[in-house]
Amino acid sequence: MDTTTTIVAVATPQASSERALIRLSGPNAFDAIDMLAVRPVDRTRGVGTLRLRLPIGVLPTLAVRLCAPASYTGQDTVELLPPGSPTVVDALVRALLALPHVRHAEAGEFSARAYLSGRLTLEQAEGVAASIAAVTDAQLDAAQRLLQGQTGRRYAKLVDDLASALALVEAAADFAEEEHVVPIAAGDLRQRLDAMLDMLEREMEGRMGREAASARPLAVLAGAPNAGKTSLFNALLARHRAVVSPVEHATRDAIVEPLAIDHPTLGVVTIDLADLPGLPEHATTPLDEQERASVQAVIDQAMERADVVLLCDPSGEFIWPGPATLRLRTKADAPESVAPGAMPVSTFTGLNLDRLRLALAEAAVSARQDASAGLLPRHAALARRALDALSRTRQIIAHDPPQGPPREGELAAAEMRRALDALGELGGHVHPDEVLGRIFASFCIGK
Amino acid sequence: MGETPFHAVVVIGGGHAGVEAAWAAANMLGGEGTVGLVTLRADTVGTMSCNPAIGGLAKGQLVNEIDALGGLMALAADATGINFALLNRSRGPAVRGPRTQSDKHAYARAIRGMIAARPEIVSYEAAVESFLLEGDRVVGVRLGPGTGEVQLFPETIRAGAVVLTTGTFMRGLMHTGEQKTSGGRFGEGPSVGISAELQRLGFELGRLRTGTPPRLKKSTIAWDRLDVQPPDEMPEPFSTLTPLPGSVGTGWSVGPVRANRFPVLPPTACRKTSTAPDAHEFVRANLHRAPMFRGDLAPGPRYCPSIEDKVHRFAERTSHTVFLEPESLESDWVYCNGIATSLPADVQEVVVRTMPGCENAHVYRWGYAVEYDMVRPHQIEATGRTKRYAGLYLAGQINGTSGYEEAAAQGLVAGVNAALDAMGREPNFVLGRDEAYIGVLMDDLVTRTPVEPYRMFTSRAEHRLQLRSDNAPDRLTPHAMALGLLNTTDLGRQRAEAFASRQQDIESLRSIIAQTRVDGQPMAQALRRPDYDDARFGQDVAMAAGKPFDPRVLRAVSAEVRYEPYIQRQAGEVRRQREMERRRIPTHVDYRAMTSLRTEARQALDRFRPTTFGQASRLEGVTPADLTLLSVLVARLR
Repeated sequence: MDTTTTIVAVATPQASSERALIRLSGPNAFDAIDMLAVRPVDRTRGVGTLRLRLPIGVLPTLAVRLCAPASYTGQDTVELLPPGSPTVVDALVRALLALPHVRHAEAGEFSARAYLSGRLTLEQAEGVAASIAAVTDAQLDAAQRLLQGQTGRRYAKLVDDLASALALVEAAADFAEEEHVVPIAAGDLRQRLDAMLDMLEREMEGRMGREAASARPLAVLAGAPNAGKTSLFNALLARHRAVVSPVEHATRDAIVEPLAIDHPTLGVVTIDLADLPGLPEHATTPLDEQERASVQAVIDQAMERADVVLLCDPSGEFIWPGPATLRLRTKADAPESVAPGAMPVSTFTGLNLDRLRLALAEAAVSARQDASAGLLPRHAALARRALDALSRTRQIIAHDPPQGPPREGELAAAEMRRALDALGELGGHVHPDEVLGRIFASFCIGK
Repeated sequence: MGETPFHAVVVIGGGHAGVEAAWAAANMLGGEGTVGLVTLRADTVGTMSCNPAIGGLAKGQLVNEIDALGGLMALAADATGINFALLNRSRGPAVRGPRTQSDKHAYARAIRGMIAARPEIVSYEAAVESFLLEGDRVVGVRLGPGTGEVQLFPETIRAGAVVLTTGTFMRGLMHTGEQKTSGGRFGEGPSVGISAELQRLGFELGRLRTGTPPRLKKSTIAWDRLDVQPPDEMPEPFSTLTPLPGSVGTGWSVGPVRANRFPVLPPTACRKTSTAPDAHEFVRANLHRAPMFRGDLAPGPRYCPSIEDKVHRFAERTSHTVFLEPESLESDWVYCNGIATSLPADVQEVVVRTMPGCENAHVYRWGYAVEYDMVRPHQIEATGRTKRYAGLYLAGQINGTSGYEEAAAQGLVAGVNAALDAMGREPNFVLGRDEAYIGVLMDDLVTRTPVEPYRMFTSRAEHRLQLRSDNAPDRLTPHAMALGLLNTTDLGRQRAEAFASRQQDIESLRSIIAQTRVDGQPMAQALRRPDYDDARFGQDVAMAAGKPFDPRVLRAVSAEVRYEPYIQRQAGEVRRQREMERRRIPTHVDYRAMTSLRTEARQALDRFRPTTFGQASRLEGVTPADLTLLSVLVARLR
């Protein structure tokens, strides 16, 4: 772990909240912010609003400046408090990671720096060590899941293709005098690189599409007006957030709240729970055209993003046009209200509420099995770096005659190696020894 | 001899690692009799056991680096080379590798002559039986009879530090077919006691194998019928002290060895032949007689497969090229490059006799495989010092490497550190992975256990674009000067002066480049064009400066400018890596007590005991998050 680079991480959970906290710490923290700011930053002020230039537009954000050694890490630190939208936070983190000498923090790295600079006591360090270990495990689990998921498999294939191509380029450099070594033709290499670039670009685009939607699994409560959705919403969150009203359409907009569920085997699963307005076609009180359209739009949008749909119906008939993950017979205050294939729940007696929470966590996790899909910001930064390095490789060989070997093979190899290293955490690390192994396996080396 | 002599540094073994270690220690220490060199047989010092060639891709860079640090190998190779060729000449400067075949007798004689010329070095012909210990420090060696003629040696030698270089001799066992012979090299016995001694001291040993081809009598080969492999017309020396061909300079001399012109020995061509399909059939039918297919052999190198291995693994090939390389101008022995083997003599005979031109060849010596003990290198630090015992250094094949150049490079590192140790200074001479192939070599050894004899390749160096043959002095001679390697001899002082004038030339070239335009563009940009070659560059700068520049300086600067944008891109990573290398980890950490570390990370750290966070980061099974945790745990120990 080095302390000369500037590290960045989002300190708040990834959710829509009023404000997010992004922490940037290290010798370059102030310079880095200056590079993003529209106007030079007044370094004498501790707190103020900065206007940062991002690809999505200029973002005004509250910022707190802490000079070394008077910060948590003992290094220059900037705390940014942008609006808590995942899209904004992601764009900001990405812009910070693109700056020179800035990288994503490792698990517990802020605390490690704090300890190393003497800001934490020995006793506190014990706690820090324990929490780093815990986060490390969680991070490795996440990485493991990523590698096992479909995304991981796609990256593993990419890493494999890249390592094979690199082996062919390296063979021409390290074993040029060997009679059986046939250098890869520039045309062939261009084709392989194009395929890899195409795949990476699609991955990056896909990620942005998904993330614009939400960073966390989304569960929606759907059903006819007055089906008890809002009561259930409040009961699951165990507080009174939404206005519960016996009047239909009290819930006109989707209300989204994070819900953390402590699951005995899955650990803490945090989801976004949305309370949808009632379905207009089931309304007993007619809505005017405009109202109807706007309510429908809110529902459609939420349903499209939803990972889990909780369909609520106190009648047990479950007439519903879309897919439902769990059927809930709401307002099941009396034991006789049993419906086949549905879970009876009651906010009044508390019937099955705990069971529902666990089921919700399981459904969310299984819906997101492939949602490793949404790469973590550090992973996205790595994929971006690989993409850049491969694009440069492509430029290096762009004008080489297709049948001949790359004229600047050593430069192409240097960029390909960078790309391969960047992809290590996504598709498995490839040590130079392994590249050599591929050469020995495909060519008879040794005169 | 009843007395117990003392030497600041005692080197055991007179192979390529041993002589380089003794030479470096002598350069560091100066004085008289400061270095002891113990070898089984004094007349085999500097022997080229296998292919009489020095250099090649990545290996050539190692030799240049040894030269830049005031070493021995480049000088001996320049004085005795008979077939110089720059490999990959048509490719970029970062992947060009100088190579030569040397006259093996002249080479060994040059090495012996240069060693003998050093008043610092005292030689002993003896075997080391055990180490003298004081606590955890090795303070000398106990000797027994060697295999040479002189049987006069002291019982013990005391030392400030000891460098052990055993080559292929530790429990060496040679195989030719079913036949097994004890020994480290043809006609020479093994060293047995030392393995047991190292085990007794608690070292974990491993076993490796390498092989060598048959040698033929040149006059029995239809030499003139075969294709010629000529050497380069304009050969390039390894050492920057050796004059370029055609140029008149003072060159250099050490004792009886000199190079005041280049090449020193007359260039000699090799010939090319090939194995026959019938031979492949015969080998295939006799595979069961090859020791490696009986499964009782230690792992050998994948990059240097035996002919039986080639036939087995690449069955679709019906022929392999064989280079016939004269071993010496003084003998008519020919080395068959390409058919290393441990097959029985009758099978080797068929392989040889079916090669065109070799139908009547007389075989001087059959090929054989040799197995030997190594000390698994996770037990040394990147300085060559063992983690277990202060004052004990290991270098060369004992650390699981193969190749003269790899051995010599380690010898130099161990020799310098042993001398520092003996002088009471911190033995901390370690080169970075971004500074030298030598740095890559030492770092790879201490972060990964070799599964085959380790050989250097350019692809092992992530900073390959910086680690070039042309800039070795610029990268490393400042280290040599800071260490004091160039203060003790005339040769060293000559090198320091040559370096100073080279730096001046480089500076003035850089300023010319900054001020000159070529074809309407800045010269730096022109240098990145493939069509703007060193010849045009040389003309243009000579015009601007009013005097020609040394081609070696031209090459270094043009390569530097060409690669500059790429090297710049790596600068951040280099900086970060250096910071990691700067942060040290005590070697005596109790990793087993660090229960918050993941088991896999804990095991890797416990085995390799990295001395820096940089090394730790390269261990298999250690993640960046583990390092964060480790940094907290280690800081707590302080």
